[in-house]
Amino acid sequence: MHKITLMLTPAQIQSLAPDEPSMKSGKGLSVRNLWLTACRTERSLWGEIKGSGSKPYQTQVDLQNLAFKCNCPSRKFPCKHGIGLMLLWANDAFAVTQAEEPSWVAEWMDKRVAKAEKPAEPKEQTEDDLAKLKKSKQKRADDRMMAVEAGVGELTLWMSDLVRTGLLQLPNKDRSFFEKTAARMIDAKATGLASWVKSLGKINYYKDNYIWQNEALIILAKMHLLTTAFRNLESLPELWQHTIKSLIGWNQSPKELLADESTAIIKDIWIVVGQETTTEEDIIIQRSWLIGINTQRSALILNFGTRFAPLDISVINGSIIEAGVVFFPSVWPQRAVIKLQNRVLDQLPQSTVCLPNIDALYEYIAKVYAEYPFATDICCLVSDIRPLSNEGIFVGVDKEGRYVQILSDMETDKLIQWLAITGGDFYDTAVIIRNNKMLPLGIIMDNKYVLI
Amino acid sequence: MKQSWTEIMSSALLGTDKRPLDISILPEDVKLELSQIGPQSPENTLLKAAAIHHFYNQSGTEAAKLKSDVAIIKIEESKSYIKRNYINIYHRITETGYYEKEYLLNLWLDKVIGQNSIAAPEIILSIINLGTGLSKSTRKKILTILGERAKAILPLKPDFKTKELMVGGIDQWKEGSPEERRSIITDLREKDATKAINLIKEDWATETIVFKRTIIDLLSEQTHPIELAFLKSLYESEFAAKPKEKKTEIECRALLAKSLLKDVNSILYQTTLHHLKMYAGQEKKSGIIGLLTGSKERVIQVPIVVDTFFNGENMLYMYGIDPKNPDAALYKTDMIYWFSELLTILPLSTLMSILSKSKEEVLEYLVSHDDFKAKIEGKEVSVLLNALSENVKNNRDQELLDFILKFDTNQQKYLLLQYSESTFYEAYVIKEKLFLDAQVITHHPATNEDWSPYFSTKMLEATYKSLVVDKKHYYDKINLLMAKHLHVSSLSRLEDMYQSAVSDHYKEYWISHVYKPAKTSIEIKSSISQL
Repeated sequence: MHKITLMLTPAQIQSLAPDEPSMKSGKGLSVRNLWLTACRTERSLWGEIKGSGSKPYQTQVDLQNLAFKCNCPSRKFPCKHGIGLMLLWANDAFAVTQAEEPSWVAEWMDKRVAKAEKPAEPKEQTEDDLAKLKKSKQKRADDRMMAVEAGVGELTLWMSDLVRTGLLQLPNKDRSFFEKTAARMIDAKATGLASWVKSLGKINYYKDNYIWQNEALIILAKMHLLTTAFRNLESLPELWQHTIKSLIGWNQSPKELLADESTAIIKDIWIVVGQETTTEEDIIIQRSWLIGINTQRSALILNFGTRFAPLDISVINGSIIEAGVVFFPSVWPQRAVIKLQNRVLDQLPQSTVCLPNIDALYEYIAKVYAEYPFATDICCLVSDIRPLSNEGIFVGVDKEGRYVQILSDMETDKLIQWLAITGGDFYDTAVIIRNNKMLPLGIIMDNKYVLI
Repeated sequence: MKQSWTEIMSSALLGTDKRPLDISILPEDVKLELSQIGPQSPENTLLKAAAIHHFYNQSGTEAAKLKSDVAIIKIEESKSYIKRNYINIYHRITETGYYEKEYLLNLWLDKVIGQNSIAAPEIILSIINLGTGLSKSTRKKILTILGERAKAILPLKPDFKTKELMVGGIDQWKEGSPEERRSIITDLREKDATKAINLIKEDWATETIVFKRTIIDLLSEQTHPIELAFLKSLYESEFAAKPKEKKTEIECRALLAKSLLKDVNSILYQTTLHHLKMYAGQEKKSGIIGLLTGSKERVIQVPIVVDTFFNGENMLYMYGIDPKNPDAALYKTDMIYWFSELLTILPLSTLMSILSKSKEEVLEYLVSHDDFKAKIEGKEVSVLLNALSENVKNNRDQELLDFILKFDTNQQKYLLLQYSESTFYEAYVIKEKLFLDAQVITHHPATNEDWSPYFSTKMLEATYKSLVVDKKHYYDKINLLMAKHLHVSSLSRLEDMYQSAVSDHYKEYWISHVYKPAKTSIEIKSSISQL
């Protein structure tokens, strides 16, 4: 397969930086004469820069399957040298010369190529081994099912008690009340349910009464629906079983999904319309939303990292990629993995098909909820939307004057950026609908996707 | 739907023990769904009803419509956006250090203003954020390059303090805060001094005494000829001495006297000259020459007892000088103290004319004559030296400054360097080799200009020698100032130093603290000059 060299924009490089100081330092290093060498081939970019040690640091970037390597002592990934080198090239293509890879670059690149082309072969197993494996797998599955059933039973009782005695008591409950139950759910291997319980504990009970009361009742109602569905699991169609189990906390393995040859690959030009990174209990979760311009499908790519295991940086916010995506089975397939990536485009090859207006957006939302009531973030492209302050509240409005309120926790600076780049004009806009509010992600302007 | 949700919520809040849900009030569709599930516990019924109700509601919600037809206003710009090369330089400026950033930004802003262009949409937010917290003059320039769409979003950035920058409106003059009003007059004086003084006069009668002092202070700092008549009238009428004066009124008179004494045609100057002439006398020259030759010199014979001029009341009435001698050890008599106070505001040309001496001779006389000396802690000090230093600040007298720098042994004298001209300052620093004296370097009078090429190179060489050759650290602020002020022509010297063979911790420090920031700053300055 012909691989394409990634040519990232400074904004995309910024999205790769682990933090603001790294980006700032990287910018400082994006000056040609600070680098002793700065060269590239079609597949790699490398440079040597003087550091505090006696020998210069060697920095290298895999341009076809984005990855960084540097022998500086930084634990950040990519380090400031990697960012600096990429920025140097992005800002001035002539600052980096075409050259043959030195041995230290060729060695690393060859290893990466070999690994990508030839995955490790599984150990050969006998029929006996396979039977044992199957048996132990079945036992683990049975054990887990029993544990979850017990957890669901316990949670049902906990919810019933809450509703029987009244939600007015919730603001007086201390954190341990929720944490204890969440921990019980984790013990029962129902991590999805644990998250629901935790979200109940995270509600701001000092907010407007109307707000917390609604939030609490809706979470409990959804948990009830989910636990009821789980108890009826066997009577549900297979796809629903998958969906319910994944909501309860059964893991979905990207590795297995990628290995499964039967899964349909959705090939399209995908826009990485937005990215959100959150940290939950020391785990960094990066959500990247993609929209296919031909299939008009949306996809959610999840990446996980920790302080010591950096996030996979191959999905670049705002980029346009020609790729094949595989979806985890679900009633409303959203979570996906990129199976193959052909090339990165610097602009859209054709106009995109969007929902024509906000009425159509609402119809789409209703359709999604009808299919899958647990949908949380609904990502789509809507035609001709512009920002507007309506009686002091920001909304996204269409040409007919229909509007959706902007999520209150959207950063003011992002809102201002939206106003600045659109100048009050209507643009096709990528949005996420979350709790019936709108989170604008970017706009399509002159065949390019511009992040907000 | 709303009523039935309220009913569900009431049951949920109070608990099904106290208030089981009455499903009869629920919408038919919800009731139908519930009936299909079969009999349930009150808790399950409530949660199911809530879930179905919520999902129905969520799916069935219609988009809201604006109450009135909002005009589709696309913001049109009358000016063109800056080009890509301007944007690239702007991004480089944002990465520079705190000290040089605002300076470089101003150079860039001047170019953009000169081009009559406006900030491109992609940098609008960034430049507003960058401007927040910078000086008012920089923010004013930023405001100039913001187009219509940027101005439309400024209300969302209250920290940028746009209102403070919208200068000149009569409404703002009438109703603005004292700070805003001072700013209006400052700006107007630069553009149209006549209009400014007329505006001041128009509302003078109703101003507070504190604001009046602010305005007089502003006018007395550098008085425009057109303002003299107004200041004179204030001195003679409103702030003429009267019984039971407020402290602020006396301060106003002192400021007015300071301003009027700079004008040789003013009555105050002429009166002062006339009085001081009466104290001019002759006495034998001191020292061996005087003894041998018997030659005489003209002196000011400050009286030893109060008289019609040197008396507390007159000093207060004429010059706003506090009559009380604050330091009897330093000023042997009240008259010496008053003379010293007069000397802070009196142009030295007055004494040159009275004593028929050159400026240097006058200064020599003032600091060395026995009448103006005192013994403090066993040391002989010149009591008029502080007054002369103050005179430098008030009259920006370079010769006087030169004299004080030679004569005074106190390190504080260097603070006066900020009142000198750049050429004088740089020559002095080079001559005295004061490159590493942070107190001196931080008081370079060119606060918003590049240093001269020669001075820049000298600074570079001195700091390199100290840090890399002698391995001695100095106050880091000097490095910050170099990044800001080094002349673009010093780049080649900087590169030579970078290429030199030395490589150790000190050189690394020099690279990161001097070379890199200075180089970046010089490169940006060069790029801006080429725009």
